[in-house]
Amino acid sequence: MSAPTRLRIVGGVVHDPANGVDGAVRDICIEDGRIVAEVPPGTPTVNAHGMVVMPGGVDIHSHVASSACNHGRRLLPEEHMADPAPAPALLPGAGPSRSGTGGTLPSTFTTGYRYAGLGYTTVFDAAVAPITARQTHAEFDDTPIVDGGFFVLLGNDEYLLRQVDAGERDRARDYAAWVIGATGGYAIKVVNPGGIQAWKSGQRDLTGIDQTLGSSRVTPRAILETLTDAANALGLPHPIHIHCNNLGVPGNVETTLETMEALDGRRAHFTHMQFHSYGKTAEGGWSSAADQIIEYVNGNPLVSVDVGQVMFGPATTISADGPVEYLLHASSGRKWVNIDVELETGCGIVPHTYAERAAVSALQWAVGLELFLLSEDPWRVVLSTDHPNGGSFLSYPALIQLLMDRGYRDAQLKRVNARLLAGTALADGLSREYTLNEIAIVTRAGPARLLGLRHKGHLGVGADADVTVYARDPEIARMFATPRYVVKGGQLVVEEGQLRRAPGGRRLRLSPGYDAAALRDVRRHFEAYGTVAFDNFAVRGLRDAPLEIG
Amino acid sequence: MSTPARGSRSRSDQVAHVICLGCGCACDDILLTVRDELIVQAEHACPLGAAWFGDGRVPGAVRVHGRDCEVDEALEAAAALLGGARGRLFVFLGDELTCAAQRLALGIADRLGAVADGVVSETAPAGILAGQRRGRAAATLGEIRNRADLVIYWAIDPDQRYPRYRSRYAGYPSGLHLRRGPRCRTVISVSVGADAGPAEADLRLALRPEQEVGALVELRARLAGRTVGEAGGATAELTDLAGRLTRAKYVAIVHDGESSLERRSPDRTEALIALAQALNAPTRAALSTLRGGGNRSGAEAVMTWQTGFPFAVDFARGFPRYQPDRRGDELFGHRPFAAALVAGSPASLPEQVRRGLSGLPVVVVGPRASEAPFPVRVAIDTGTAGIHEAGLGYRMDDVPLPLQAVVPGPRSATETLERLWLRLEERGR
Amino acid sequence: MTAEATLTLRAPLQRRVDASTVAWSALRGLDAAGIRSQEVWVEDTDRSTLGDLFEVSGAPAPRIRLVGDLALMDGIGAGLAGGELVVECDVGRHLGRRMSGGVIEVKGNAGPLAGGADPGAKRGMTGGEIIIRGSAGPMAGAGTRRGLIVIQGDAGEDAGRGMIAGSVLVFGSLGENPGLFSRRGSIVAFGPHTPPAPYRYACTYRPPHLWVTLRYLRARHEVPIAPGQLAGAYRRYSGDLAELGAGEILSWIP
Repeated sequence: MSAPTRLRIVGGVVHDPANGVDGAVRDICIEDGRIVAEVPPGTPTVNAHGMVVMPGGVDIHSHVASSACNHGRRLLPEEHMADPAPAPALLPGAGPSRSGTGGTLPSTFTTGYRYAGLGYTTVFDAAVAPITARQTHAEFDDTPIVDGGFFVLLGNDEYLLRQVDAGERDRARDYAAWVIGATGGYAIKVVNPGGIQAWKSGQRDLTGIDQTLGSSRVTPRAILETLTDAANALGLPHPIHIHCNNLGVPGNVETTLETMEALDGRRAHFTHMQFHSYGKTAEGGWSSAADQIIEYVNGNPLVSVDVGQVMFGPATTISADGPVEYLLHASSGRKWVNIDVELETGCGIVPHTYAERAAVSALQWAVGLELFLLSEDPWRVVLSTDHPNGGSFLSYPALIQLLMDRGYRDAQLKRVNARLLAGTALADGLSREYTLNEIAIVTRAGPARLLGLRHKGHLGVGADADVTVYARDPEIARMFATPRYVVKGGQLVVEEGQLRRAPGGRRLRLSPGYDAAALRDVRRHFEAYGTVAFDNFAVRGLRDAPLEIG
Repeated sequence: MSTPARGSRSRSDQVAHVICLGCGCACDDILLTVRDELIVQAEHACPLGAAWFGDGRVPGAVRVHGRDCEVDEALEAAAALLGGARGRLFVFLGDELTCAAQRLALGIADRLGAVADGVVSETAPAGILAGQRRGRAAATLGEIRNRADLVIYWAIDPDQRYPRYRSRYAGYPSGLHLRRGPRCRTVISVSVGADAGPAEADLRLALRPEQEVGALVELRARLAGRTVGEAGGATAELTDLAGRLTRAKYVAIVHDGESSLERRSPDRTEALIALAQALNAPTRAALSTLRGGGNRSGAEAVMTWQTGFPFAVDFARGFPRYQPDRRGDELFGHRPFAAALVAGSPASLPEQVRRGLSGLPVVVVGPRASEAPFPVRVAIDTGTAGIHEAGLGYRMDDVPLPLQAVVPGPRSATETLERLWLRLEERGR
Repeated sequence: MTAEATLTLRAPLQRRVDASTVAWSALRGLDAAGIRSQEVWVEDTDRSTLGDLFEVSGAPAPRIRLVGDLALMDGIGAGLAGGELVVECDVGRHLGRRMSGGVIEVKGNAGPLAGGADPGAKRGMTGGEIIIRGSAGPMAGAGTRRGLIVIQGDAGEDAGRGMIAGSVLVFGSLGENPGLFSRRGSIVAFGPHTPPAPYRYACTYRPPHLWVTLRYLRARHEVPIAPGQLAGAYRRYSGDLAELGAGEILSWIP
């Protein structure tokens, strides 16, 4: 039996914040993969009486399909041995039923099944080196169910830095547009602007946003301005996606605020904000500066963030931010991968464990929660763990419970090492509890809006039919971990809590316009310094047409 | 000279920017001249590259029990053999397939609960296992070209098995961050026993095999401010070398990831990895691991993303299990397999595997399957990745590249494996 | 409750058996039926149970005794956290895999990786004691984090490779490269051996803590200790100097 092309989800309590629906009982009608106003009688139904209905989850920042992820997978056989994932019992002909392994960096098929099993239907990989983009596409081809896209790393790109140095902002914009289209990417990602280039060049003191890179005129500020303006001028649906300088360093709140102020008046997204919201005590120790950051965010409507919450347990730090990963390796002694990626970026990987009894882990956990609980606009402060950096995406349900259930949160707060928590807002007591509607915002409606995905994150007519139905459960984490039904593109992929279908997902990509004449110079650059010919660089034969811009 | 655009066929029948999988260098500047569907010239190709492309002719036979037949019949026989086998199955990911074909072959292994392994299991396991214990400090080849002001060849002269490595990635300086001129890149050649480094070098050092690990460890101990002294050997040279390493801006340590030495001592690779990592405290450094061609790095990448493990995967319990110490005689010694599928070139089968499969009914789907140097039950010749089949392929440094189809060949390996997959599915396997 | 439950091999093993799926730590709390139902895998493909392979008597008991040649059985004692396991004959590879406590005594020989770490794992055994009366294969005690491994016979190459702490005592000969890549931890060598390159001679002395350990082994585990081993002098080699350098090889001077 093939999946019905029509479906009616009957009687659920709908949370569709993008359309102002907050807990109304209504049917959701689906036809050919889209939400429609009505379906004919006799349409197959899903009984959602008493259940909670939301759009499918949208992950704005994750690491799931990339050359870097695969370096991480190869590094972690011990995790994969400990978390076998047998093939799901899919209906016959309902997609590839493949086994795999889990851990913090699951194999591709398992990644798709597990995301869908949580009710997430759209996932963005947040860091792809352009030269490795074709691997991301190949991995997404083996990551079923979820629609996938990725952000291309540009903040340390040699050609781009040259344009910044020369003040050639138009050329930088054309280059960025070409790279997005040539790689099949979706947005511009900046990681530690200039800092990776500095690390690769042996410069280890790039800490301020006005410091120059070597003998050039390039500063982190100039890189940020150039790329932020490029993204906005190109009309990209998602603005620049920024991982600030000085990640994970005590006192980095100054850099973070300086960066935000540098881009004042421009649309920009700042990612895994938790890792950038640390103060410094007089003795040089760690403290929370979440209040300063969130105050700025609350007051500046053009700024958005995802939190990058830390969850206790095993994690793997994986980032283009090579110098940060080196420092983590040097301090923890854990195993370490570093790959310097020619002309473009870096890549670092270090396994990490966040322990309740570790003071810094506890502080990081608290900083993330403070950002959530002090946020005045859930549309602009959305949920992420920077999977698998702050914790696996499988910990989202527990995070949702931390946000919705003060008792649960306070009980955990009592268990953690409180050495660095004195005077934090969280330790002083934050009573806020997220509502189901706010959860719907921070996990789907908000990320979709920030990503400019007009067909995602809501249940209005014309939207993609990605729907998650949760059975109510007093234990919130369990409720969000095991949706009763998940519909992806109109197909019922989870039925009665069981994964039953695994259709391939779509690729979400863009092809912005640029001045073709600018490519002559890019080609010269490739010919002089690249080891992959310009003509072999662009990814060809991509499935799914690029999305329209504007 | 103006080069024709990629994939274009000008009147002179030239195809430009073709990627060569003759070794892991994956040079992508090959200019092929094609006449009457034959490759008549491979410009820029080294001798290994010229041999890789040949004239582009490969056999197109389909055989069951040595008898020519139609593909359908062969696929049916293969499906019956693999799907109906009582007992363990073995799936080998050989060379010369695109990643699309490798993905399907691994999918078949998953569905059949087989043991799946690839060429690297024989040639490079020590390095992979050491990397899993420690990680690694590495770089893509362009980074070495653009930055490395000190290149140290450790018991390898790339000119023999990776002929263009030096000229494309580490030779005469043309790097973005290097001053021009022959003196701005220092070359150090280390020979270990019979494994000689390059003859032309600024500094040459010779070690006896039993000194090798000690020397590597000695170098690393010095970075930590310790000396080992009596046990290390060649102390004066090592002092000089340690100084040069720490004074360089960016060190590239080049070693052979597929050498016979790997098998002799698992410790040497781990010591090399550890040294390259440790050099990142005083300066910057990367280990450049030379790997073979034929897209075996692609097989490792695909295995890793589909299973979480780079080689030696056993699906018998319904999920991938990593069995890196159950290879070769350990794997084949105790209980024979019931049947095997070799996907890819049968010539790439390591001797141990070939021995292990002797007497078994074997299905081979891949380039020159019909010329397998061992008895084959079902042989289906396919095209070769990057010559007859386009798709994804990998360079030795895990950079993914777009392989082209330059001349028509026999049936596609991807399509053939997909049809095999569908037939197995029809049989309920 | 009796003192000892006995598992007697019904027939000689013809094929490799993976016993790391057995809840070894829980066996001492199980009755015979519970023990019999524990899952093992034959040649990786065939699901089987301890009951298929062994006669079980005397359960539940704090000590488990395995009788029969188990050279083809891998992963015996995996995950052991407490209690006592006695094997009357040889065992296969990866004895005491991921073990954190308790005692395993093997009266015969052990295969590779006794107490050793899984691929990619930082740690091997994190506690407990393994006493091997015969010899051990390569990589015995690799990655040991805590605990004690005693090999009365010979040890293969790479014994105590990459140790983080803990002790490996070898009364026979040691293969190549003992203690390579170790951060801390002790290897005590009573038989022929060569300290690897990154170990440097530090001093000759009579280590007091070793005296305690040896007396304990003699009293608790009946390990034959010569008077000269108790009272004698040892050469101490420090290493691995390229790692932390806080490990040692104690080399008995006969």
